[in-house]
Amino acid sequence: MFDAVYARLKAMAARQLRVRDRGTLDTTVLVHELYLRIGKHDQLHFDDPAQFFAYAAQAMRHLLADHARDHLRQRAGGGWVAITLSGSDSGLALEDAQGALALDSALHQLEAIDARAARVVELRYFAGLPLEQVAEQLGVTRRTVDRDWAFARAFLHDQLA
Amino acid sequence: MTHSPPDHEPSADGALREAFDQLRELPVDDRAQWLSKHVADDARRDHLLRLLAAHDRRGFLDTAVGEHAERLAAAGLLGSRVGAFRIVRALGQGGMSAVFLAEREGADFRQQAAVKLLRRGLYSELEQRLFQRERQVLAALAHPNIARLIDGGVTEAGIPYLVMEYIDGEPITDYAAAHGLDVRSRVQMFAALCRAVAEAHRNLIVHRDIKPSNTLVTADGTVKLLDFGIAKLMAEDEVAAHATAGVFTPDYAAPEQVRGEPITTATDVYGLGVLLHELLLGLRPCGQPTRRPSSRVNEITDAAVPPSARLRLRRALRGDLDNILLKALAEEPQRRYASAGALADDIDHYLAGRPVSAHPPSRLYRTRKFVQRHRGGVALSALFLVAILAALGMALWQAERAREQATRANTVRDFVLGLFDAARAHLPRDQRLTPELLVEQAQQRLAAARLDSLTRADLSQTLGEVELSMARFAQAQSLFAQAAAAAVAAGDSAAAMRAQVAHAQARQRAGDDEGALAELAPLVPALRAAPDADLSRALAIRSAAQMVLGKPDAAIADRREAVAIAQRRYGTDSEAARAAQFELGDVLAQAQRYPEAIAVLQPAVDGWQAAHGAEDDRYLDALGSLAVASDGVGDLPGAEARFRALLALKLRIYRAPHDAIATTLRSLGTIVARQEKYAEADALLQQALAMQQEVYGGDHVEIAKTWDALGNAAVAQRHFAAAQSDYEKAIAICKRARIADEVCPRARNNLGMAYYRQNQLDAARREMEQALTERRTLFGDDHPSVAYSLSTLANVEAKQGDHGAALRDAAEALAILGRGGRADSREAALIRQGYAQALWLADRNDEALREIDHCLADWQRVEPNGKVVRVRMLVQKAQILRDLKRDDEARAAADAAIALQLPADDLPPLTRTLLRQLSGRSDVYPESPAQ
Repeated sequence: MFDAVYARLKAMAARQLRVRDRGTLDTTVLVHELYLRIGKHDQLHFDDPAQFFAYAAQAMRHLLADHARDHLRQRAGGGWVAITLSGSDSGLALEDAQGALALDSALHQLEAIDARAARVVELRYFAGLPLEQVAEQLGVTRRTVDRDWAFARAFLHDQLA
Repeated sequence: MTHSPPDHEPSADGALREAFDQLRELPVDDRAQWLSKHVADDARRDHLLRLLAAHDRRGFLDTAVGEHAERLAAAGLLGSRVGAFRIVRALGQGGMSAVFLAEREGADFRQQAAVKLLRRGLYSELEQRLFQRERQVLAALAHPNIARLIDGGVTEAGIPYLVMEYIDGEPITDYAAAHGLDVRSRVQMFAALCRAVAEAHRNLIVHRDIKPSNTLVTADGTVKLLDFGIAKLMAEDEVAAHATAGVFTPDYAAPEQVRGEPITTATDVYGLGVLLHELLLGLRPCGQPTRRPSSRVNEITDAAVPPSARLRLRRALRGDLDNILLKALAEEPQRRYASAGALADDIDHYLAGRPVSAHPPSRLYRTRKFVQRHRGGVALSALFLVAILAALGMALWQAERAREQATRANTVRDFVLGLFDAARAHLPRDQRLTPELLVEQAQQRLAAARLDSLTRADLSQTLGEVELSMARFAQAQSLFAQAAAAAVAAGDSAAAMRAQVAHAQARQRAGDDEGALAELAPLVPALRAAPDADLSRALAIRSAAQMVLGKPDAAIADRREAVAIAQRRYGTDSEAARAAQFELGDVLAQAQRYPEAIAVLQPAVDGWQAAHGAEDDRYLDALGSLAVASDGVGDLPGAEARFRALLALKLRIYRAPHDAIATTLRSLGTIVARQEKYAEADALLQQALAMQQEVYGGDHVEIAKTWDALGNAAVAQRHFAAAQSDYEKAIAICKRARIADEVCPRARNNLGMAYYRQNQLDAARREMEQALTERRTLFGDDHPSVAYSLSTLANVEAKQGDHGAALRDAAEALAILGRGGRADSREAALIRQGYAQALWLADRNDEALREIDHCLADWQRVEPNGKVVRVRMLVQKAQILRDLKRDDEARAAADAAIALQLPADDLPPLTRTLLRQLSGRSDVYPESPAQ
């Protein structure tokens, strides 16, 4: 089930990257479109929206980590030649790649400490859900989600520092 | 709603979270005091302080995940090579592409260029061919005001790219404003632009995306138009995506583009009109095509334009320029100038003070009405375009041959792309045609269309490739046959052969290997006259068919030829040559010609690494084949090292758990087990099993294979009960999941072998006979694995004393291998030894001697270092000779075995005893006191 969601999301993200004019990959749009598509006429039927968003969030998380791994792999092998760059893109991308992988492993640590806070990160950051909807999905109050998010964000940024 | 306390366990971590929450609610100044009072542990205090600091600063999570992903996607190629160029920095991002500044350095030159990487890959052969053809057309476009297309191609990763002249300039609108150009200078600059576009239109190339950012002016004042024809290459889904997203802003796009209708030269005329409008007024035309541009002067908000200048501008525009703009910007394409050339003429008239052809729309509308005959929602945009141009008397079809080819390429491309346009433009996503329907529709259109033979051949071929890529082999064959016939009719023998090669491939893929071979037989010699990609393709097809038909030697010969072609065409150190060597090595390994496989693969893999070749599927497959071949020649440490390297690589590439990692774990575990490092082997195989169970979730053929491997490792440790249970698990999976794979009979045969090793011969024979039946069902009677089944069965039968059955089955096994051209192969040698043994046991010693000599000679050739088996064969030979009462020769055979000087530990006790007896030398391999 996860694989199917992941594959679908990946294809949709690739398409969105392809056709967008400016701006960036819009996770919220992506995940909600995925929800609509899967909800209507798909063998991937979810009885519970919460289950879907959990899957989608994890898929998005994998997507970013995979992107990052691809990037670092390209640097390591495949014809990468170190040259002095006049642009800053390369440095940024490297930070993105390392950051994304570090985030993934930091999230594992957060899961061990505070599993619900990690879920909040997935739903809010990776699935792009508004905090109200995150609260709804997790069945807790908005205030609790705010506190979860604040703690998770501080924890992860500290780990990434 | 009341505050709900955090529902954490009162653990240390929970305490961290609670302390953090409480600290945050405190005023900043009170926090230190609270910390010293409530948190005794120094490390915990530090952690909390760090968390508070992290809370107050920006970090990774404050940038949208999409933005991170995007930067990764875009920057992945910086510094890498594209064609002859090295990417230096990003210049910009378009909707469909990313543009980079790139450099090429030679001994005494440094060339800069703009490299455009298309966002979408061209994954199919069809897309790549269309792209290449388009590129050739564009490369022929040479004009001082058009940025030249220097090069193009497809990167290893399948990303299409274009290398274009790098223009260091600013958009025409910015340039005009910065230099304070008057109306006349602006119009003169615009006229040069029109002439450049007109030149492209004469070559049937439409720009599609004329706008200020594509129109740069260099420091010396030269106008350069960028990205000619590029939009078409990239606009695969643009209009549809915009339309459905509801965010389409028709800034520069012509109305027909917004509506998803055919694109013609009139589309560029519209784009030029918008550009002129913006160049003169600093405004884009609003959506009211009848409104005179001069009446909009007072909408200019730019404070730098004083009222007096506005008045002058209005006067300058009123009349001719108004009419020219209105005509260029007409809603309906047929009411605009027919081409950029006509627009340029009118601009020249205006500059020279002569009357312009543009009149108020009402009159024009009547005079141009005849063109409407060519409308009608036709998707064949180029044909539509050609019709218009022909109506205007432009005799394009009589142009020289190069022009003709360009025209045909355009026609073909537009035909195909037009179909896709038609399919998606007006339909909601879920009602769009499937590729199957689309191609069917295309075939109907093709049948009805009036086309010259060459175009028909091209189109049939293209559609055939689409069908082939969708695995619809019958349809593909029919289209390729049509393509061949049309090419013959047109007298283009190269195109005819290309179609026939493709036809043969469709047959081969459909399982008609013999038919494919018959069809290729006359083609390959003809293609050899001018070796090209078609010959390589023909050889690859033939090689695949020959492998299936059990003609490995012929398959290998074809792969060798393909290597030679690639080396000649691209150079011995080229990626293409090495990839061809990978294929050759794979076939050699499949044919179990392991020493040759290693000789081919090792240098190719080394070269690939040295050249920093991509660690892609081809490379991974080659490493895997190399490992298998090392195992095949008995180089277990070498195989182990290569599997470990492969595993390390896969762990870098894939994220565990992953099926590709599990497969290598299993291969490595198998090799490690064969080196009797059982603890590690069991761990590796269990790891593979756990990963597969996680990845697949339920019964899966790969899990069955791993159980089979676990069984083999258990047998090697003489844990027969465990082995039987492992094999039975594999068999049960096969049964439950109704798997028809080689592993199912293999596991059953191995189960039989486990019984055989425990001397439970009846059970062994039962399982092996069952395995034999399954293999015959699965592969037919002539498959090598049937031969293998028969040979193991013969062993059991011989041991049961059923020599008749043993001889019959061993002979049948050898006959199968002989029919498959493998009479002298490694496994034939091993089976032949069993056959010789059965003959010997049946007292047919003369025949036995002939067979054992045969397999000794084979073994020397295929496995010169396989000494353990050689000793066993020599011992067998000595036994036969002894029974023939040729004692001297028997002794000589035994001495030859002893001369191989194998350590005693490598030989079974029985063999050592036999060697002493047969050689008559009690001093060799003395019995150890312990035994």
